[in-house]
Amino acid sequence: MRNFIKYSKFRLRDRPESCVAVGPDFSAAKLHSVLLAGTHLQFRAPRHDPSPYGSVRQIRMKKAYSLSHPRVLNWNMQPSQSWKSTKIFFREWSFCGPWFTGFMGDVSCYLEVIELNEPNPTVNFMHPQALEAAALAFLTATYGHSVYREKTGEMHYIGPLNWSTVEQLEVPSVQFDSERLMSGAAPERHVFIPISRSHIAYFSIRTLQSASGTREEVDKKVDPAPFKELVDNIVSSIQVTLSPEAQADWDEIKKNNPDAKVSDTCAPLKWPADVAKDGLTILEYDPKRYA
Amino acid sequence: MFSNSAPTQDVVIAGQHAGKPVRITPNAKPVYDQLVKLARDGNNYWAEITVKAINELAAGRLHQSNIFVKPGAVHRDGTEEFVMILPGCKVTCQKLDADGFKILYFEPDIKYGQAIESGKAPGLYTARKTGSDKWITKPNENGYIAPDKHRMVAISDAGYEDPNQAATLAALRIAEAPFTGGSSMVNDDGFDLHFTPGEKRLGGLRNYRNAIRVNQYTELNESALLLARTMYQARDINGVRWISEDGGSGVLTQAMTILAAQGAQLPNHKVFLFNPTTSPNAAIKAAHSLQMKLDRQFNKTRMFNIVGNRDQLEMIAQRWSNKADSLTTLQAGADVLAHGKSLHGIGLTVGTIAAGTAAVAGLGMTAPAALTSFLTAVGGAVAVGKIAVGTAKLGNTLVEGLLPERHDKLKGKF
Repeated sequence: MRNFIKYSKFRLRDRPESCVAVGPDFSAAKLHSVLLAGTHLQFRAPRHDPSPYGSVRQIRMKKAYSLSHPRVLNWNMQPSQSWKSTKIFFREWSFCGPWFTGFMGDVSCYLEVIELNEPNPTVNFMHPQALEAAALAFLTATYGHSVYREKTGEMHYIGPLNWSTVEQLEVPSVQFDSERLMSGAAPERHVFIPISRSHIAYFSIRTLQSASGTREEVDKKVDPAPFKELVDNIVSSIQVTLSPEAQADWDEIKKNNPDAKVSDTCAPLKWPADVAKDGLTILEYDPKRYA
Repeated sequence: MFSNSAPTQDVVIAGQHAGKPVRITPNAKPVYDQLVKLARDGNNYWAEITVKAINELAAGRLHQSNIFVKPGAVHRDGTEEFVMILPGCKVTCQKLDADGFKILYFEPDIKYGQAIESGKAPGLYTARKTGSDKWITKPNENGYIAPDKHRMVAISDAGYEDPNQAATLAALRIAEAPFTGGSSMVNDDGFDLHFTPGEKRLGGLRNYRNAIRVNQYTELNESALLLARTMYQARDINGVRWISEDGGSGVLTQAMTILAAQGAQLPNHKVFLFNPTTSPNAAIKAAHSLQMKLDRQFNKTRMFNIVGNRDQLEMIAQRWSNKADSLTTLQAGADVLAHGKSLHGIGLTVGTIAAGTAAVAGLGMTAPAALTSFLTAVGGAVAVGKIAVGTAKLGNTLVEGLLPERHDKLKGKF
């Protein structure tokens, strides 16, 4: 209650030089669970509290999804249009400064189930190597084409950073960040978890500190730590129980090659790059390819 | 004679061979040279504008018609001082007696390029929609819009810390323009965003003086010059749609005025103001002189927006009397009536009712006066009836006027 008054979106005072913003109380966050084509996925998330800019609506999760009507991703977002997605969940949480210094940034969590636009029967995403390749290709398809200076090849984004697996999960998984290279970092956490041979649950958790300037200036004005803490809390609350078919797939992979696992580290990808129509092959960048 | 220091003779930097010489003090020369170097390497479009503007002083016609020139003191010997606010540079000049200019004071920001990249200076961004309803932006290297036919360009208000925030809100608002095709078109195509940083919003009642005399609003000069360049570079692209959001109208108006002063024309482009908080009449004058295409609706102004509604009637008259504008007499009449739904119109109606009620209560009046009041009261009652019919509509208008963000959000649900 005290926080509700102390850290509100009302802004009556000038912004301080630096501040530690306070977001939602994760200890009170409810557990959300969903059946995605038989696989049970659950995670904790606080109540929706959108930023004052645009007040984006939440996407309420149903109990179960058959994943039979995926949509092709927008060409603006992904020029190759090689992946399809089903929207599952979206919420946004505002972070505010103390005593009427107002809105200081937000974290938003978007969950979708992605699959290849052209189904590929030879690929099984339950295999850690396939999952890894898919995650890197998906990231490249979304951000790899975003060049700032054609002459020097300077990019808008960099990724993957902080590559790791989701610790508490027994199924294969991978998580990493991508960051903006200009202005504040605006890190985005990507979490990929396979839920069947052809489907991957994909969390995209974005952070935006409400401040302008270079990365150092932004981090000085609004401390990034509380934002990161919320992101880490959400990721570490994810639990997965595979459907019987997916479990059988995973058991077989484990039996055939017991050493199969996601790489321990991964350096940032060399961008600019494109992704072929099959959604997995990373190609050399060509600005006219999908123009 | 015995000093070792260099002679402090002014250096001519423009107009050496023709036109009026432009001089600069030797101290400021190295900074100017650095600016010229930045302008020539082709990656700093802001420096190009600045250097060109300084050179144009030599052409001699700069300080009458250009709005980014702020007149200063007139000295006793007849020389005149003025200030030019250019992207990344503030220049104080003196118009000399001998028909030339001298740059007295030169305040450049060589790091302006980085400031644009980090969202601290005005700039052009490309916006695209993520899987959720959030938008992300990326700065544009050279300030050119995407060369697509019918490209949408949003000109945002100040008051956003990050262009991503501006884009998410602007996406909802530009979908309101009659020719954008609604949010599905906006979402699919994405748009370009001309971003103006700043703590406070532009125009409105708080900046009333600046809001109504928008072309003298010097804080917008930098942003408007950059936008004017973007607009000029896009002149050959067909059907570009320039849509301002709230105080973005000020930036757009100034940019159009700058282009008009340079004699440019944009006959293939369209323009729309969403809830302008600066004078829409100033905007329409500039749009007319650029020969821009105007839709049936030129702006959408919320009910409690005093500045945006203030000169609507003048604006309608301006449109009606302009031959190039397609507004017919009937349409102009309809627009005048529609204007009655704004605070002005409501105020008028409420005033009538109040007068009527007061008259009925005041029994002590003489007969003829009472009769007149009675008739007014009847008129008031009729007006009340009309309002009752229009309540549902009015409710919506009220929500829109009082809680604009809430209205955008609710509207998205239907």
